[in-house]
Amino acid sequence: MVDLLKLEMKELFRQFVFRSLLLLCSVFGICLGILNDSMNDPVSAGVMEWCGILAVMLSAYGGLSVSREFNRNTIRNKIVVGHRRGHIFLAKLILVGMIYLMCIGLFILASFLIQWIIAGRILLQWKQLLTAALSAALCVALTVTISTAVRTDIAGLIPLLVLFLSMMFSGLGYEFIDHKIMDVINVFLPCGQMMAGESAVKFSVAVSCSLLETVLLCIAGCLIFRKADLN
Amino acid sequence: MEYVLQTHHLQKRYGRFEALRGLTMNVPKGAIYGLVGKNGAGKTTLIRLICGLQQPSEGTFQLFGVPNEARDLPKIRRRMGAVVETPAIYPDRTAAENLELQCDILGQGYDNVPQLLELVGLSGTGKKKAGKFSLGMRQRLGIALALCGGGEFLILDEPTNGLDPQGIVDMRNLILKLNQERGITFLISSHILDELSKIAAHYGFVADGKMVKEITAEELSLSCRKSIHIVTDGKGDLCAALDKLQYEYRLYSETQANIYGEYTVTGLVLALHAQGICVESLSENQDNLEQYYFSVIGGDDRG
Repeated sequence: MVDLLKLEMKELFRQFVFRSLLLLCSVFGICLGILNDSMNDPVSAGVMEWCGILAVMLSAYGGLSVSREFNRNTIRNKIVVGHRRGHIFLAKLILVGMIYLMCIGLFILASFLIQWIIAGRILLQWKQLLTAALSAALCVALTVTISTAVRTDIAGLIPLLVLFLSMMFSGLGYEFIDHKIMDVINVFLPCGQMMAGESAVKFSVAVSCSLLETVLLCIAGCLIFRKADLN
Repeated sequence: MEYVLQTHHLQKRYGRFEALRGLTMNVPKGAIYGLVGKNGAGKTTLIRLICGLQQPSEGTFQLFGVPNEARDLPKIRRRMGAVVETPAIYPDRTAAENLELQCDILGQGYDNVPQLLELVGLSGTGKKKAGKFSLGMRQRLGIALALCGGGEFLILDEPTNGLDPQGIVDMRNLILKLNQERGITFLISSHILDELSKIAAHYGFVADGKMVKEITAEELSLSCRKSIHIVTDGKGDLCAALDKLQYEYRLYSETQANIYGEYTVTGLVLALHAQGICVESLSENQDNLEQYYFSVIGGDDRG
């Protein structure tokens, strides 16, 4: 397991695209911080919204990182020499989790840092941070589960599509569904958790449901992958 | 005898389709075992089961004496390597980098990378990316990857597919070298029988998901039947004459046939002459692997 993780991290930092993503997220965070300050908005508001959008966009990179191994059949090299499928799945989960953590983390840090430099203060709402973290965790679980279950050329992009639709529905759903019902739905929708702080559902309940959904998704993804017939 | 691989009534179903239907085989340690069968016989499916890429529907197998359902089977897998269909390589990396990645997967150092490259004849590739390798070079890189863990058992699925004649010779020599110098056991699936007959010491004939026959090279040479090949002048119905004489034969044309059985030349020629068949020439033959294969598996012999 440790060998797999070392390899994944080594490969991740070797990729030019990932290093570029880190840079882009940092620059984007700085720009947003400056923009929010010029509009006298609390940084945390815009930052948290954009975290949700970043989480959706990163699913494309995360999904492709996972599916590429199946496209090239290099997953065989790990299985043939005896690595357990559960460990391989977990390593992929951690890989995509690290992608999210580093990109979104840099984005948030850059935003708050620039805010601190300009305005000398950071307005941080811990509930929104937690919500963003939960939302990202669910996105990671969904991305890895779909990518390892589908295992085709486009498998990496399916999570992006699912998350994008989910994000659109989580907002637009309020237009034609009762708000209270939509609040409940958004507890379970990836990226819908961003609404949890203002919803009718108690925050602690929303957090628990979101966590449970993430764990169940990971377990389901692992079980599917363990039983899958690979070529 | 010590066996590296033993399978017991292995079955694999994909929905209603049965790819393997109770396949039992035994691969002795130190052997080069040729797995022979038509396309769709189940060779690659069997290899995928052994490599852990798929689970058997029923049946079991043992790798180095360890059952497939044992918890420590993953540790045992470190002693084997495989090239299943096409080699799984990273096309944007050099040969050395591919091997280093495999060493990372195995959690070991890079000490044996130069030696492996030398062994498979890829030490001169330098910074050339594996994606630009020829098919033969990729196959050799695949074998090097399979050997990274110091494998004692290598599984090669159609290793000479798509190779030019020189590539086939190189592959054959490499396999023989590894078997003789390092004692590595090979399971090679192929339908290029001529090539397999030059290296394999054991054969397993697979048809319709079952092992039809397992045989050693020695037993094969004893079993390959002797025959008399005759060429006639074309006057008279050769086929009808042979049927009337109740000879076991294989007809190649209206004027040529192989006749099996213990017959004297004089007796055979006189018997055919009595049927109106004039023999112009004859020679003694012995079945090769290809002919033995057809006699075991069935199908057209286009010889």
